[in-house]
Amino acid sequence: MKKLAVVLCLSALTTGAFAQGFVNFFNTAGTLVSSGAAGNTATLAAGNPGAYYFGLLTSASGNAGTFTFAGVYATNQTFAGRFTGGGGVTVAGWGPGVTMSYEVAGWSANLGATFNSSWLTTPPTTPNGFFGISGIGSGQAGGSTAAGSFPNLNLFGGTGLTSGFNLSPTSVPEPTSMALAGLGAAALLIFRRRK
Amino acid sequence: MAQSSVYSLNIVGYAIVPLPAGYSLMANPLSAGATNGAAEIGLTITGEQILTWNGKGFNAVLYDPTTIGWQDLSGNPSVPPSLPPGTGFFFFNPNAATNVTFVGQVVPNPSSTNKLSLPAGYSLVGSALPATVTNITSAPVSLPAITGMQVLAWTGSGYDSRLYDPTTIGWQDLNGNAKTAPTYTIGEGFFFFNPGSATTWPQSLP
Repeated sequence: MKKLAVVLCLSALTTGAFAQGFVNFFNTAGTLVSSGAAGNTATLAAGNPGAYYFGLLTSASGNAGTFTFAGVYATNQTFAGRFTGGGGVTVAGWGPGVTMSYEVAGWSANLGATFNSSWLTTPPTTPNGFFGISGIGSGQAGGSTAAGSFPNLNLFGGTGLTSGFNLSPTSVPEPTSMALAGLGAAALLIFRRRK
Repeated sequence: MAQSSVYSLNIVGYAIVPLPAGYSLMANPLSAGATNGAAEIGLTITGEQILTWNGKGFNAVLYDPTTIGWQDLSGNPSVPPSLPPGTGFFFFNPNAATNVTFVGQVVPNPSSTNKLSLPAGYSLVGSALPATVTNITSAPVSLPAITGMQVLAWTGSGYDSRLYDPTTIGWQDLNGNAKTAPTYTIGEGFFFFNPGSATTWPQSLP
């Protein structure tokens, strides 16, 4: 009997220790994602699902430099500016009722389907690509605990992130190449005038 | 001295709501005019628990007259929460299934409007008006249809979540599959997710 009680206690402890919380990994109509260079951004086009990937980044402290990829992905939907990784997604290391900080990274499919952790310190430079990271949100994951059954954390909307974010071009022309292009254009103009 | 007649416009009634064993998500559909949960519910069961939502987590109280009566889950003396109409709460029934009989006055009064606060994020609520409807946004329950809102009904072991987004496919589950609008049954509580800034849920008697 004593043995059974010990086994039950250990079982409860392990269940609690490894319990995973739930988050809703999708954005809302009020938190759309856009792409483009500053001053020339546009909401991700409709009817092109799978053209962009998104990854969840988490941090216990929420301090810059402490976010890591949580291994959870999402893709854009057929609806403009929308993405989803599903509702009730479990996140390793984020227990129910536990508060953590989070960000969402987004990138165009030509950068690959998997998140590269080096992008956290050095954004990708793949030509014709797009990459961006959302603002920082914070909230507690849903799930059942001894204190009750918490609803899933909505990463966007409500008390989560209340604005969308932009994916910027990954290949920005360098100043030297911009200058060379300018010189070329000027030379062409001079050549035409002389002619 | 002549006395004028005094009329009351209050509507008084009762509602019998099933109470299964274990956790139920409820909301008081009638105002008993009392100030504590025990009197509002009109039922006290040894070992019962009432869990109310504080915006981030639950405040739980337990009733055990064999010890100190109302107490928190650590055994410290406590008082049952106020549960006016519109406030959702979990009720833990430690015994076999039974019924709860809510008795009291209908809120709002005729010709008046009740406005329930819906802050950003989650709130635990129920219809202040005693009613059952097949679409929770239909009168007289009239939950406001907000783009991106979610209604989480308790299934007995988890939540049945419905998201409303007319910019996509309307009512859907959290994985984007089309669903019907949530129903609402008298005495039921539910989590409401407000994706925007704080608003209200106005209700008027038809």
